[in-house]
Amino acid sequence: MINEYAVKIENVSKSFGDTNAVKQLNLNIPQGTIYGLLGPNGSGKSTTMKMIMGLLKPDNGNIEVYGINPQTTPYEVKKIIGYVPETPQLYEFLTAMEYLEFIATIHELEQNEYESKVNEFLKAFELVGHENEVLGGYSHGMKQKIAITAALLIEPKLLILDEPLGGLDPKSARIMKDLLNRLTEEGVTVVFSTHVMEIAEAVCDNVGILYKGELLTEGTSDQLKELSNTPEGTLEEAFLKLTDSSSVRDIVEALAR
Amino acid sequence: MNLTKTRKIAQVLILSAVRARRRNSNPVVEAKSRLINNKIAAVGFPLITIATYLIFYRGGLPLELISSALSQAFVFLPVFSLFLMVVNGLIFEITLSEYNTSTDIINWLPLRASEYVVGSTISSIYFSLPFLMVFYGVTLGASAYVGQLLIWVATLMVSLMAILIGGFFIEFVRAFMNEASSVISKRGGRFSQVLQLVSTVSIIAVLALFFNYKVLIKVMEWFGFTLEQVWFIPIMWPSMIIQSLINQNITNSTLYTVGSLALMVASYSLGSYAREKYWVPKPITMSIGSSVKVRDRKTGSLVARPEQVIASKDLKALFRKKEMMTLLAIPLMLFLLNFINMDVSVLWDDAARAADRLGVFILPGMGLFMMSLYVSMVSIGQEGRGFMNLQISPVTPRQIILGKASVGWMVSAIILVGMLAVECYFIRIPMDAFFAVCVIGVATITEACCLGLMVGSMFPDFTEVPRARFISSGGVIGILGSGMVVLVTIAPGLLNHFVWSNNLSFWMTGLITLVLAGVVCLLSISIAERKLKELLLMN
Repeated sequence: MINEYAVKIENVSKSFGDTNAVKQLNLNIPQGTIYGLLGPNGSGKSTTMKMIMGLLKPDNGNIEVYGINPQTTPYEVKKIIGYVPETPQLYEFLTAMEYLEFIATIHELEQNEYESKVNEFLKAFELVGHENEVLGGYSHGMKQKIAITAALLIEPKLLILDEPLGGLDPKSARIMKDLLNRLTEEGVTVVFSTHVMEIAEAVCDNVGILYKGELLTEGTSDQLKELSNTPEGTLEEAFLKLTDSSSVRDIVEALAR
Repeated sequence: MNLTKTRKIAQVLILSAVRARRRNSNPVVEAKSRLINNKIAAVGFPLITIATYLIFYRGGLPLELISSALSQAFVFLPVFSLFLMVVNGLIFEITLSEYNTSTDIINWLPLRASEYVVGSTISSIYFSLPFLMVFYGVTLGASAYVGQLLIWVATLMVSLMAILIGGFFIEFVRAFMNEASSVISKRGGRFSQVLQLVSTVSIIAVLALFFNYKVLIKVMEWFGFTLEQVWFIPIMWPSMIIQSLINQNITNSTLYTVGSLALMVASYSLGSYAREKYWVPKPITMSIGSSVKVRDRKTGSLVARPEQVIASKDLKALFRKKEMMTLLAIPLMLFLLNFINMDVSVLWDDAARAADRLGVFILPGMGLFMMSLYVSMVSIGQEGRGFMNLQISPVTPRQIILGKASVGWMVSAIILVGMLAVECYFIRIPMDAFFAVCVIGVATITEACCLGLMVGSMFPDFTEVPRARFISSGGVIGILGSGMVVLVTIAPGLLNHFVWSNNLSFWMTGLITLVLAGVVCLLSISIAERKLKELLLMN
C-alpha cells in the first residue's frame, strides 16, 4: 500500500510534568510538500518535531512516518529523516569535513556518493577553505550551514527543520528556500517551523498553527487569511488574529510611553 | 580602578564557577547555589586554630621541636601560597573546555583590564580559601602555643603579598596561553595537537606531584637548609623575608620586602597588560588535514562501519578536548608517584626477588585500570549537546557501546603492551607467571572498559561546563563498585600467591580470571545497552 502521507499524527499528546506541551494533535502531511508549523514560543512545535523523529515518546496517540512507527522502529525512521535543530548540535572538536564524514558513514553512504555533494554544499554556503577547521571556531551561522549540509547529505525522504533560516546570511537563506522547493519536486517532504511569517508564506504549501499545544487551524496561506477575515492582509496578520495576539499594538503603545 | 566594579566582577566569576560545578537540572535550585568557601573559612579557621593549640597543649611535644618545625613552616608558607595560586590557576586553565571560555560579555562592558585582573585574582583566592584556612589555622594554633604570634602575623602579611603575586602572574599566563594556543593552533595543525597533548599531560602529572606529601616534605627540608642559595629566584623573595626575620637580619628582610613589593607591582602590570592586549578571547580555528579513512572490509570502499566511525570520533575527542586529555595523565601521574614513593633501584638489583620487582608496576597498573575505567565512563557524558547526533542517527545502542568501548581499550592496550615489555626486560619471571600477568592486565582493562560504560550510561552528565565531570555524583558509587568487581576478578591469582602458597598453576588462575572477566563484561555491556536505549530517547 502506498502511503499518501509522509507523516500521520493521530490524537497525540505529550506532557512534561504539569505542562501539556501537545494536546490531542491530529496532523496529516502529504508527501512531497512543504509543511510549516507556526506558533508562538512554547506552542509545541519542537515537541511535535521531536516526536516525529522518535526522540520523544508521546504519552498517547499514534505517529507514522512513511508508514513506519518512530516509537517502535526508531532506527528505520532515522534512516530516512534529516533533522536540523534550532541550535546546531555539532561535535565541536571535529573539523567540518570530519563531522560530515561521520554523518555520512553512520548513514552508510559511499564516499563517492557524498564527497561531491559535500563540496557542492561547502561551495554554495561559502565554506570552502574552512572545511578543515574545527567546528568550535565556527560562527553560529556557519554551524547552521554545516547542520543543514549534514541533514541534506543523507538524501532524506523527510526533512525536519526547526527554525532553519535563523543565523543564515541572506544569500544562504535564499539558496535554502530555492533548495527546499527543488527537493519537494523530487518527492522530499519538508516539515519546518519558523517565527518568520514571510518565509512561511513564501515557501510552505500548507501551514498549521499550533497554539498552547493544540492545532488551531491548518491550510494554505490564502485559506488561513480567509479564515481570519484578512484576505488582503499578510500571513502575519492572520497569525496574530488567530492566536489572539491582537493586543500587540496596545503593548507597543505602552512600551513606547 | 573602580572597586565596586572589581568586587562585582569577582563575585560574578566566583558564582559562575560555583554554579557550573553544582549544575542542576532545576534552574531554581541551581540559582540557590551560594558562596560557601568564605563561610567555611570563617568557621573552620578558628576551629582548626583551637584544635591545633589543644593538640599541642595535650601532646606534650618539646617546645624546641615545635618551634623548629614552625620556623620551617613560616618560611615555606609564603612561597607555598604563591604556588597554590599558580597551580589552581593552571589547573583551571588546563581543564577548562575550549568551548566554554565564553567570557565574551566582558568584552563589551565598560571594564578596565586591571579591574578584571584584580577581580579574577580575588575569585582565585576564594577557591584557595579552604587550603589556606588549614595551613594558616594550624600554624596559628602552634604559634600561640610556642609564643610566636608576631612572626605568624608577619608570615600572614607576606603570604598575602605572595598570593597576589601568584594571582596576578597567573592572569598573565592565562591571557598568554589563550593567545599562544590560538596562534599555535592556526599554524601547527596536527603538530599543535600533539604539542597540546604532551604539554597538558605533563603539566597535570607534574602538578599532581606538587600535592604529594613526600614531595612537600622534601621541599620543606630543602627550604630549611638551602633557601639562601636561591636568592636570585624572585618568587622565593617572600619566603626570604621570613627567613631573614627569623635570622633577625633586618637589612636583608627590608631588601626582600622591597623586592617582593616590586615583584607584586610587576606581576600586576604584566597581568593587566596581557589582558589588555589579548582582551578578546580568540576563537579556536585549529586547522587539521583531512583524516585517514577506514576501508570497509566487505565492499572495499572507503566507508567505515558505524562502530569504527564512533570509535574514531571518540579517539579524536580524547586527544583534542582538553578536559579529556587530562585522563591520559593518570597513568603517567601514578608512574611518577611510583618513583617518589618506591625504591625503584630493585629493578636493577639482580639479587632482588621477582615479586619485589613486579611490585614496582602495581601503581602504574592501577593507573592504567583507572584510565580505562575513566575513559569509558566519561565517553557518554562527554558527548554533551553533540549526543543529539547519535539520537537522530540510525545507530543501535550496541554499535555505540562497541565503538566507545574500543577507544578506552585500544589506548589502554597500547600502554599495557609497553608496560609488559618493560616488565619482561626487568623481571625475568617464568613463562606461566608472565602469562598470568598478561591475563590479569588484559582482563582488567577489558573489564574496566565495560564497567566504565555501564557506569557512564547509568550516571551520564551531559552538561558542558568548565571542569565538566561527564558523570553525575552517583557515578562515584559506580567507580567504587567497579574497583571491587575487578578486585574479585583478579582475586584467584592474588589468593593463590599469598594464601594458597601457589597450589594452583598460573595457567589455572589465569583461566579463572578470564572466565570471571567474561561474565562481568557481558553483564555490564547488557546493562549499558539497556540504559543507552533509554538515553537515546529524550523523555
